[in-house]
Amino acid sequence: MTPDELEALVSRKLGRLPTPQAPASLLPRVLLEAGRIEARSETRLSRTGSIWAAWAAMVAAVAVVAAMAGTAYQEGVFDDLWELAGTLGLLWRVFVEPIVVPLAGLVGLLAGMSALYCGALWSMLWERNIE
Amino acid sequence: MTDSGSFEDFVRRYQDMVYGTAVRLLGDPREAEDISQTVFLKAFERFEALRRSPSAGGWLKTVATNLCLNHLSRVRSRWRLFSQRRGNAGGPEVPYEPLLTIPAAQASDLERTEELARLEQGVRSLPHHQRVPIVLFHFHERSYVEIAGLLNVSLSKVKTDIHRGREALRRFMVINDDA
Repeated sequence: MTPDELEALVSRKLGRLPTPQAPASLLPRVLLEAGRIEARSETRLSRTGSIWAAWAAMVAAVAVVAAMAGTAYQEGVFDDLWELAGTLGLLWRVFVEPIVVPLAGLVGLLAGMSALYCGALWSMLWERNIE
Repeated sequence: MTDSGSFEDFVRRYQDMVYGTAVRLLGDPREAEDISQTVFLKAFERFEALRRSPSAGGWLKTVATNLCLNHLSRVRSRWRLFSQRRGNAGGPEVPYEPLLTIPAAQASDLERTEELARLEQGVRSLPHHQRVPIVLFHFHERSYVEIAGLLNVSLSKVKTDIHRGREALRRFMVINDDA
């Protein structure tokens, strides 16, 4: 049998094959998973709505605080605040200033360790992403 | 997001075509069912556009084919790793279920059904490198050049694999006919 005859024979035989039937389990599987996707999508939508609501509340709060600060400035409340700042400065000089150098060292050390950790984590995730 | 009833109808309408594409390319009913599910979930994500599209069937077939080819290339690379460890150069053989689900109504009589079942079995039992180009050529009407491009292999390899696959298919049929 020549290659062309073989091709014709196989084409003819395969052309008679009916499409295999999908198993009965496929449809329920697909519908179940589609339902899950839809539920997740709705959750995401409601979460997005909550985030927008939170932003709106924050902006409103900032506006209220700014309005209150403006009113307070007009009424001379800031004079009291300057007094409070003076008290806080006194507390700083008594309690914090004597240990400011070791404190700065400690903060620097913590920042360095955090940076090192973040760097290691980043390079690990980067390598995994490349794979 | 979408009307679940119409999506159900959509899946019912195309499930045999998608599953048939996958099972012939993969040769494994379980993997074919997984791939079919993935195809329909991709369709679900863009169902609003697909439900009215006259080319929905073509889209599903293309996605199913691409997913199967990606799946097979992943399996091949995994197999290459294992075969290198074992020092075995043989190709991957994904097991398939001997049970075939060909509707009896589509066959004129029992003998014809048996013959078709044997042939379907023969296609599925071919090794990947022969079955995939044969399925793409005979069921998807792809040319040799297109198949070489899809599988990222040379044109001569595609021709050789398809020819050997046809020979194997013919031998398979003859052996079964003799038995």
